[in-house]
Amino acid sequence: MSSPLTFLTEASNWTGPDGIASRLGTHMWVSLTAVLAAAVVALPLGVYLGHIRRGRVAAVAIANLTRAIPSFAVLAFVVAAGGGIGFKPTWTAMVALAIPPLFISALVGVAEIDDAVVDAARGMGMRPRQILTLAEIPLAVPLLLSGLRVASSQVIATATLGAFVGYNTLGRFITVGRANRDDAMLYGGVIVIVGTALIVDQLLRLAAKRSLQWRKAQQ
Amino acid sequence: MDAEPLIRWDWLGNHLDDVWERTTEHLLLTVVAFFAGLVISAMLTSISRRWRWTATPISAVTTVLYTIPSIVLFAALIPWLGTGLSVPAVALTTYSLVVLTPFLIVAFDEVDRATLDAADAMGMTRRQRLVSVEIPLALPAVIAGLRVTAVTIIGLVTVGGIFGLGGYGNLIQDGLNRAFPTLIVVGVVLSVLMALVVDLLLVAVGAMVSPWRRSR
Amino acid sequence: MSTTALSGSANATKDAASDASASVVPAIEFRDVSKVFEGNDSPTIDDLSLSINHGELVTFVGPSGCGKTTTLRLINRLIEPSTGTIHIEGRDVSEVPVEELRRDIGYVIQQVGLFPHRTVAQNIATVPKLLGWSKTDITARVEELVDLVGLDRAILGRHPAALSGGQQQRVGVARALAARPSVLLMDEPYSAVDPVVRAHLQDELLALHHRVGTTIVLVTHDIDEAVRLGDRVAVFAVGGRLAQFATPDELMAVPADEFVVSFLGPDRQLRRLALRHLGDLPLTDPSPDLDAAIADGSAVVLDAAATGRNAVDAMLDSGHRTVAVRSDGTITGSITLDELARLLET
Repeated sequence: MSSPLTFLTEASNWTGPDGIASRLGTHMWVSLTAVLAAAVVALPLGVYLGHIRRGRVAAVAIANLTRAIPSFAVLAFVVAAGGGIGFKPTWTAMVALAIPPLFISALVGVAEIDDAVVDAARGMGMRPRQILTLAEIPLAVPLLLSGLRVASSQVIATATLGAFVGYNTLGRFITVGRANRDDAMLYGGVIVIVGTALIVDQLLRLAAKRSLQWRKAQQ
Repeated sequence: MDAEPLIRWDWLGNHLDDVWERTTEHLLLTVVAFFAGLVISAMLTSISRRWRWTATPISAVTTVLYTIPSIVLFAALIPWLGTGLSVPAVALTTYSLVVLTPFLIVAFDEVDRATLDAADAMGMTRRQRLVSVEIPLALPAVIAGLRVTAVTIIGLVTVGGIFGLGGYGNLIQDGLNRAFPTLIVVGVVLSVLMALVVDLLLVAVGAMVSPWRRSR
Repeated sequence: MSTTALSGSANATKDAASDASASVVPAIEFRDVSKVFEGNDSPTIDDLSLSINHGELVTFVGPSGCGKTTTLRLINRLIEPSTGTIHIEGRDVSEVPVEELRRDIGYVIQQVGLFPHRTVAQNIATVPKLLGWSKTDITARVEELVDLVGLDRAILGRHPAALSGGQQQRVGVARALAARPSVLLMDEPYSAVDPVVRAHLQDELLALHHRVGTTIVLVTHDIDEAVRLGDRVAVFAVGGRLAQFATPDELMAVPADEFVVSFLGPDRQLRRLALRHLGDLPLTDPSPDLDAAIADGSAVVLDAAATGRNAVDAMLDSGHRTVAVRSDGTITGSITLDELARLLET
C-alpha cells in the first residue's frame, strides 16, 4: 500500500508528459494566460466605468449572479454549446469565470476612491489621463489584487476540472487515480493541487496587504 | 455535438419525474449542508468572540479550506466515505461553514458599541443582551451572509455531480458522458434558478425580520 | 436601595440637599480609589476620595485623559477599581450583584445608544421590563416620562432613526429615569448636540433635577457647562488627580492651584457674578431718591432674573453706578457697582 508521499517522491512520476512537472506546468500556464486574457477584457472596462462612477448597481447584481454559477456548470455549458473537449472549453470557461471578479474589483476599486483625492489631483493640474494613471489606479491596486486573488482561485479550480473533459492538467491525477483505484496517485495529486492553490492565494494575499500599506504611506 | 440541438423539449416533457428527483436531491443536500454549516458557524463565531485569541487560527483554517477546489475535496473524501450521501454532506457542510463564519463574525463585530454599552449599563445579563440587542441588530448582516452561503452551496452541489453524488450535477455529468446537450442545459439552468429563488426568499425573510431598516 | 419618587414629594431642591448632607450617609462615596489600566505606566485615577450628597447635581470636569469618565463608570461597575471602594448609600457596590446595581442607576451617554430596532416607548420601558413591572404600570410610566422630558406622545411609536439628535437625547434621559433610579449618571450627554439645542437641554436638565431631585453625576469637558449645571464641581487634572471639589462660586473665588486657574480660564470674577441673579441679592430698599433717579435716567433698570454680570455690563454701558431691580412690574430695590464688587469678597 503506497502512500501519496511515496508517489510524490518517486522521480519517475515527475518526468514525462503525464508527470507532475508537465501537468503542473500546463496547469499554471493555462491559468496564467486565462487570467491575462480576462484582465485584458475586464480591467479597462471596469476601470473606465469606475472612473465615471457608473454601473455600481449592475456590478453587484452580476456578482450575485455569478456566485450561483459554479465552474463546472460553465465548463459543461461551453462543451454543450459545441466547444469540443480538452483545452478549448476549459480555457474558455476559465476566462469566462475570471472576468466577473476582475471587472467588479476594478470598477469598485476605482469608484470608491475618495472624491477629495480626485479633486486634489485636478487641483494640482493633472490632466484626466494623468489623474487616472497617477492617482486612481494606484489607489485601486489593493482591491484589484483581491479581485485577482478570487479570479486566480476560480481559474485554478477550473483548470483542475478541465481534466474531467479531457484536458491534461493536474486534475488528471484525480481522474486516473480514481479509474485505477490508485489512492497514492489520487492523494498525491490532491496535495499538489491544494499546495499550488494555497501558495498562489497566500502570495496574492500578501501582495494585497503590502499594496495597502504602500497606499497608506502614499496618502 | 453537431446535429444535436441545445435543448430537446420533448425529452424534458417525458422525463419530468427524473428532473423532480434531482431537484429534491439537490434541495436536500443544500438544506443539510446549510443548516449544519450554520450551527457550526454559530459555535465558531461565539468561540472566536469570547476568546479573542482563537479568532486568528479560526480565520486561518477557514481561509485554507476555502482555497481547496471543491472537486478536489469531493475526490479526496470518496475513498474514505464511499459514494453515498456522506461525502457531499461533509464537503458541503465544510464549505458552508467556511463561507458563513467570516460573515457572522463581522455581523456581530459591527453592532454599535454605544448600544451594547447602554444595554450593559441598564443591567441586562449577557444572555439578555445577546437575545434582545445583539442578535436583532446583527441580523441584517447575518442574512446577507446566509444569502451568499446558500447560493454558493447550491452551486457546489452541482460539482458533486461529476462523481454522481446527486442533484442537478448528475444531469450535467450525464449530458457530458452521453454527448446529450439537453441534460447539460437543463441541469445548469435549473441550478441557477434554484439559487436565484433561494436568494430572493432570504431577501424576503430579511425584510420581514428587520423592518426598521431599509434593506441592504 | 432607596428610590426617589417622581411626582408629589419632589421637594428635594438644591438647598434642602446641602442641608441634609451634614448628618446623612452620602449618596455616592469614593474611598481611596485608584485605577490603573493594563499597559499604562501611570494611573488613570489616582487615590480619589469624594463624597456626593443626596439630590446633588455634581459635575466632573477636566481635560481629555483626566479620568473623569473612568471615575463615572466606576459607579455602575462598568469598570472595576484597582484599589479602594465605591459606596452607594453606604453599600459597597462590589458587594451588590452587578445587574441589580445597574438597574437602579440611570446611565446616559453622548451617543445615547438607543436600541434602533425598538420603538421609543419600548426603549424607555427597557429597565421596568427587566424588573418585571406590570404592563399598565409600564405604560403609565412611559407616558409620564415622555411628558417630563418635554416630548410629544406621538413620538412613542416611532423608531430612534426618525428622531433628531435633541429628541434622541431626551429619550435617552427618559429611558435612564424609567425605573426611578437613585442615581443618574451622564457622560458628556450634550457634546454631540449643537449649541442652541444644548442650551435648551441644559435648562431642561436643571428643571428636571429641581422636580425629581435624583442625585446626578454629569461628566463634561466644558467648564462653562460644568459651572452652569453643577451644585458642586469636581475638577480633575491629567493623571486622575482631583484638583478641586467645590461649589462653582468657591471654585472661581479661590482656585486650588495653577492647574485649576488655567483650566477655569479668564474673567473669573465676572463669571462669579454671572452665577448670581439680581433677585437673590441683598438690595437696598426702594426710596424716593431711587424713583427720582429712575425718572431722570440716572439709574438703569434690570429685571430680577438678570445676573450680576448683566448688571455690571449695563452700568459700564450707561455710565451710571446704580442698578434698580424690577420684579413683576414693581421696583424691589437697588444695588450699586461697589456693592456688587464687595459681594465677591465674601
